Amino acid sequence: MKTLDENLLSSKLAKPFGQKSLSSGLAVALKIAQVIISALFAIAAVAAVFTTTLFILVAMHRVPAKVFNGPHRGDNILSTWTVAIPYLVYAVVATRGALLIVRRLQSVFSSFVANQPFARDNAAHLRAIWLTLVVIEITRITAFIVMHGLTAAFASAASVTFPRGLDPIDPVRWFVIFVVLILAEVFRQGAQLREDSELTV
Amino acid sequence: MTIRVSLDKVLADRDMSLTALSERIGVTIANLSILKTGKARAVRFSTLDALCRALECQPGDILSFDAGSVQTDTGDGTE
Repeated sequence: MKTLDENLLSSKLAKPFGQKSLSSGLAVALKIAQVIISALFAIAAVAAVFTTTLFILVAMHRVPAKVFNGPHRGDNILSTWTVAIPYLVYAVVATRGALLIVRRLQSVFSSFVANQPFARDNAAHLRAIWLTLVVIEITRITAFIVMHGLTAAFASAASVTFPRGLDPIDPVRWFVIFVVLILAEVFRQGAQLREDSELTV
Repeated sequence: MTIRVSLDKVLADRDMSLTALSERIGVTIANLSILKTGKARAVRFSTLDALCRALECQPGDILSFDAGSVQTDTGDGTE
């Protein structure tokens, strides 16, 4: 009698590469992710431009603005700029980076669906992915430092609420970056071996 | 590449075409072309054995070492 794992392995779904495989399923999921992240990027970009413009207008006394909701209700909206601006910059960079990563992953998975996992381009795609992850991570840490620095210099820490998820050191994120870095090297070596094999007479 | 392949010279000496050699040793013309043009990264002993039998020559007649050539890096420390 076959176990659940054996059934899964013997099913077509468990086939890692080619048509109607796990890769083709993930390729569809990446297309959906691309649409969602594109929308998030557009929202972050519009929010960044809108918020920056709003802060400038408020600072020039063109718009009298008060925070109308949340724990700082009634405060002047300018009191939040030390947090809002760095966070929105991070949000734009993170969503744009995520979009680049999804596009690179789509290229990687299209080679998996074509049954060519060790295509030479895959190493370059994975290298671009870990570099993008590093840029996002450095932006996140920079946003955290800038946010606290600006708040200490220009606002009272009690008057702002710092967003969660921006802690300076997150070992899990760096672990993921190192895993992708090693995978990029594995794929580079794999492509090299494949070329060697093809050029062996 | 510091290893030179003289397959074209050996073939010319024996007045044999690449197609005829391909049929005789069972290696595709594409692979023999890779070997002849010096693009090959490796040669199997079985292929070398078949080549030497068909051309009645020694491996040294087909392959030679040219120390003056620039060595190209293949990324794994070998050539």
